[in-house]
Amino acid sequence: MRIDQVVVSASPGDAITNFALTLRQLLLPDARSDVFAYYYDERLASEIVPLSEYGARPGARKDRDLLVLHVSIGEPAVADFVLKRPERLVIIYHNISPSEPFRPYDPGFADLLDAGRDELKRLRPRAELVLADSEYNACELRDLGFEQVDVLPIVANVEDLRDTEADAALAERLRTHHDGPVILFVGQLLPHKRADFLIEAFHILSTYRMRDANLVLVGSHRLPGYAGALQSQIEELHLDRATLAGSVSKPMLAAYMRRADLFVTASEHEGFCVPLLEAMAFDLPFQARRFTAIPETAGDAGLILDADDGPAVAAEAWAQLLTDEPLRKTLVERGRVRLAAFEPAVTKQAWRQALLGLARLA
Amino acid sequence: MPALLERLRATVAERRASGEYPPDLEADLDAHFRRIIASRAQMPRLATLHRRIEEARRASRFSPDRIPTSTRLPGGAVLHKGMSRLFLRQAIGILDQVKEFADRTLEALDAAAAVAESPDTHHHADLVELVDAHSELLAGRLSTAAPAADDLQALALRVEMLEHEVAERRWRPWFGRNRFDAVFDRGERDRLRRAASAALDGRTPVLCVEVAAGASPLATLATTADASLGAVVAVSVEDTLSAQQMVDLIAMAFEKLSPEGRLVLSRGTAPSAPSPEPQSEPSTPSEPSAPLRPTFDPTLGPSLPARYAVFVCREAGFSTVDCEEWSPDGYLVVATR
Repeated sequence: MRIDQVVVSASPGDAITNFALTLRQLLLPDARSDVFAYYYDERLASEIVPLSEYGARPGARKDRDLLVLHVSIGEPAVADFVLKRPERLVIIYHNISPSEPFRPYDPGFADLLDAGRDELKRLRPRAELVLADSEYNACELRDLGFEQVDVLPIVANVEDLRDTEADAALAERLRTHHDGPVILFVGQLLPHKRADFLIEAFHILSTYRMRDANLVLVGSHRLPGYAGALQSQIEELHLDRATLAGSVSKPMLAAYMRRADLFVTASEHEGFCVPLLEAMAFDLPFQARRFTAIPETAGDAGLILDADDGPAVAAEAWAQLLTDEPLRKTLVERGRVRLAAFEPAVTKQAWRQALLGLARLA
Repeated sequence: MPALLERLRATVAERRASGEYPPDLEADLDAHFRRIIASRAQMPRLATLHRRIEEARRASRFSPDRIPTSTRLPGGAVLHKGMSRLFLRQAIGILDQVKEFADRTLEALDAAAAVAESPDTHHHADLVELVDAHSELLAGRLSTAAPAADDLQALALRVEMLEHEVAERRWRPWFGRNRFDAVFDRGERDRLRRAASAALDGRTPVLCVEVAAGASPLATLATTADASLGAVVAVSVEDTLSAQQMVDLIAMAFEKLSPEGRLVLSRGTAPSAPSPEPQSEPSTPSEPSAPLRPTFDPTLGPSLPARYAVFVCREAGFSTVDCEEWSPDGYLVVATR
């Protein structure tokens, strides 16, 4: 039995790539599973198979083999390929970001996002099993006409990061160079994540409330135009204690998480929000905003601002979370409880059963 | 949590009402970022170019292993594998040539993208013409409404002073001086007082409005007669006064000073002991450089507190205002009535 997986793009550190590789490992005792990608980073050459080689594998058995498609963006070539394959189709929906925030920076990429939703509609009649990793994502699919969508809890593996030894040189520099509280954001610097909102809130915090506070934004600069605008924003506001750290290794991320006093995100679109679970794993209180799947991910473990709360309220919330010890303690305890719902042993088993269950129904 | 959120919102509303937050603070910040985005309107095309180059780079992986040998014809796979072994040497030779071509092509594309991204490396005749046209227009306007020679001289002096300030600031450490002094307690306040005294240039009587326990600088000044003081010295009062109180203090000092009187504001650590330059900062060979690069660039301009104090002094009516910066938020401002 084969349960092969297809992703549009695979790169190191990418959450969907990591999830596909985890799934491959989970299925291995019962099914062979390769991960194919249309675009992929050379550093993953030993893990990922180019989609162009899919045809080179032994012929598929229409009644038994599964093809699992991870959907997070559109790519007409991939959709066309999947529609021609005889295997039974499984769709795992990780959410497609809205295109509007991307359009000023990369219209081509925005078009691909729009195409993704159209492709989902084309794939719908072929899908035998549709899985989503949050109720919010499931709702989106139902709005697109999918009748039966199952929600499975995400396999987050945050313990892996928590147990990673921190990069010693970075940890030392953070200790000696950041004398005030450190506020941390982790995530790709993309327009819908609203790092510009965080910088505005930090400007208010550091100008009027806590001059010694530091803001560190960790994450890859996927859109150079947006990252450059953020850099200009920081420089023009003279925020010498705000840093764009860029993409970092796992030991470096562990160093940032251990040094941080508060985790923040202003994201306006998340199909799920793994960094919130990572914050919980490091006993970090966090602040987020009431958008899409964020309240569902956070539960009662964080301070969630309403969508229309501006940067001044965010700055006030940060000051409160940095100084109110009983509040911090309460949120950390709630975070530990919330994190237990994503126990990897349980979530992995759920995904394994869902896929193998369908395969064995043949 | 809902109650806490309501309290936070109420606090923000109070800060707005009291003037602690400027009116339209958030709207101004939002407009600021939108202006930055608008100035980068040409970026989408470049982003698309970069993405296409990356796609081409990902596709430039050539290997005989990627040539499929499977077939649905009986025995076909064996035949294909045999053929591929037979012509392996030729296949590798062809792929090497294709790879070399692809590598050179990608290098050329990278170079083209770099040129497109750096306008200063090439010449836009249309833009030069536009700039020339605007220069002529500006020159025409200036010739019809020429400012007085004194104004021009003052402007030239001001530019010279700013250039000097920027040159001075270029190698000033962005980190540390405050922090080191705070850690080692090298008598910061005494040095601030000495620096302030030197700026008085013999003026009397002097009123010091330092913040002592229970004393309000504004209340101290309010009890003094107008135009009665030779100098007012305020050391590190900004740390305990709100933005509005600072404005009130400076305006009141102007009223209390006699003609030629001086207001001296100082904050932070006065320069004395040598501090390490950024390039002498200890580092380890394996340390990452990018993640900790400070985003504050001292050459970009003075820090906000000093700019704010200078601006308010000018607005209050002081005829000359000089500023010496000691660190990103330490300064000595001398305003003469």
